[in-house]
Amino acid sequence: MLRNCRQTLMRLIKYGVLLTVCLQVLAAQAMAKEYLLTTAHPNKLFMIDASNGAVARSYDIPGQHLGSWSITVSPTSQVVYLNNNLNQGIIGIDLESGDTVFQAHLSSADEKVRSFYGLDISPDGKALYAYVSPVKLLLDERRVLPNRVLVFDTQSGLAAEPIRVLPAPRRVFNIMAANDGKSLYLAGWDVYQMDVITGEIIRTVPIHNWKTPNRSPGNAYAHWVSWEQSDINTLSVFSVHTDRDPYSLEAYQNSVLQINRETGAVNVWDYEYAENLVFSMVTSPTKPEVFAIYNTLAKIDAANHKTLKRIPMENTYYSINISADGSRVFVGGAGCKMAAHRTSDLERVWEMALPGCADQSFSHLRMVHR
Amino acid sequence: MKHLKPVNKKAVLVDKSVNDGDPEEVFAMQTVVGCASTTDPGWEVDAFGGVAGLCQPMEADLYGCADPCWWPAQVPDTMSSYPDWGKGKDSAVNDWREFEAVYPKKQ
Repeated sequence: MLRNCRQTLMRLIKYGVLLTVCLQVLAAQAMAKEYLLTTAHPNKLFMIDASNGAVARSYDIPGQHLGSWSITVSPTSQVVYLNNNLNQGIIGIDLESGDTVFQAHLSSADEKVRSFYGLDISPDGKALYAYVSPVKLLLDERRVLPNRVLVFDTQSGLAAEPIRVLPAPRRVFNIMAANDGKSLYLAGWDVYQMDVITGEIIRTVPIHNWKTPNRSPGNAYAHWVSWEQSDINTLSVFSVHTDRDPYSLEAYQNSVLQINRETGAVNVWDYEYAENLVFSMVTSPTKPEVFAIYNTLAKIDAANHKTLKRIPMENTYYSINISADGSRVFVGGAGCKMAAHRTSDLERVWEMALPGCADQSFSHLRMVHR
Repeated sequence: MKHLKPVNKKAVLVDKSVNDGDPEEVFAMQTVVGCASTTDPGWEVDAFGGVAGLCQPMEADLYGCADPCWWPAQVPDTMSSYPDWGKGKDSAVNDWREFEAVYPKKQ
């Protein structure tokens, strides 16, 4: 009896502790603020308060004198991973201290290796994936080698070497780790699902190689990534209706490609004729809506596949992301300006220019909660 | 070979490779080699022959083209060949007057 009482008491204490920890985590998340991350010339990483556009922190990116492109945040929101060294390196910066906690040098004496786009982290934060393009340096030739996915241990420190090197298809412009941690989605001319241990391509969804009747190959263009709030990688696709008058607008089609990292679903759907160019897109985490940006900001009904509203922008923006509650979209990239718009009516909430009006160029725009 | 004088970079490399015993590592050029193989229209016109679809203003696209080596004819390639071209000129819309043309380096 005494032993049963003791066991029951231990169980109650254990569950009480577990409940306390859970409540603390939930409380911390509820108190966490939402920030935008972007980089700019010459070597700056900026953390922007999403509520009002104020610059909360700025960091110098060591070994870089152009803006970085790929930005990937650890699941704990503690470390941000970026390209540096003219895309020949990957660096990890602690967002609290600003210290460099990770560095991988990709090139060697006889191989120049660059990582343009294609950087993501495993859901448990232990593995960093980088899609790289290697070139062998010969006397009079740059011999293009097969592309690779490099897998790094995020605890490797300042002289990180890949723990696995996986051959990868060419023409990939973003990679996204699946939520189960077992595979990687490579978005390129087609969408590939890769086993992160063996490198086996376990599934290919054709986009450029689709067999859609009376349709040209799909041309997906989106190295900017925006899936952290919705778990959906959203890309713009352009194609031509080959059975229509080539001098009519109706021959040119804008479509949305969505890759769901939770379910693995890959969907492409048409929504408007290609009167407006789109650089990047984001899917709402709360409603069946997609938002698209370039010279206009558009709100698209993802359930009924049509554009709901479009507003002109005062200048080009390359990148877009969205708040966790789906109430705000954020735009950035290209020049030095950033802005927030209400998703309900696309009205602007705030706008700002980065310090010195430094250009963001091809930088990603990511969301982080701290 | 001793009566021939190299007058361009390729010829210098041919000479060097012969002297070093690696003649097969130097190739005759077969195509125009640039930074990018894209033949998309540049800043002049958009896909519909107009200008409304181009980046606005033009300077918004300057580093977006120079950094990834998108338009070799319009802006220098800041990733490989001219990494310092934009040094001190972080804001294209404000600093565009400071940009300079680049020329092949003399041998």
